[in-house]
Amino acid sequence: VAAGDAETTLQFGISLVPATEKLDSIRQLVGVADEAAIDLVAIQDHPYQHHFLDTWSLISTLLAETKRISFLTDVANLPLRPPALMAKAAASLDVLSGGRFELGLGAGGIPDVIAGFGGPRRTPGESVEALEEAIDVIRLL
Amino acid sequence: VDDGFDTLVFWPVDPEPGQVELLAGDVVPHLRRSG
Repeated sequence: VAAGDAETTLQFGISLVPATEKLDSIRQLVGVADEAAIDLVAIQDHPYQHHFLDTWSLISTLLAETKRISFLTDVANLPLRPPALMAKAAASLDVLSGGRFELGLGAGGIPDVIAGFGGPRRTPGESVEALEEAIDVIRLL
Repeated sequence: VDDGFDTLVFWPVDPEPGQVELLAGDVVPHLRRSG
């Protein structure tokens, strides 16, 4: 990105934790951001966190409740979400929201809890390989 | 921006609407102009 293009290309976002007990606050903050000059809301994806809402369900709901702002998975947990299904869900949300969904991918950084939640137990090297393969799959779909 | 970044995501520890309004109304316009 050239510095001279910054005014039109640089995006600004806020990151929110999808804690169930913070749902009212999340809705309020997203509403403020949607009315203000914020480009996107980023929401982390940790399915094994018992006190977190499911990130994809939350983003789907918030997309329906807003008009302008975009949403980003920050980042989606690949070991627990098969890449082909993730591609389908991401494309669906993007179409349904008029292009307001961005897919952020993560290799999964906590092997023990991922395995405990039914996912594969990967080494760091295997996680990187799986991430690269997932990117290829998602782009093909 | 010179290093190729195209997005800045602010992660407040304990977010409040005032922080989002300050970011949007003060910080973001300054950063856009400084680019």
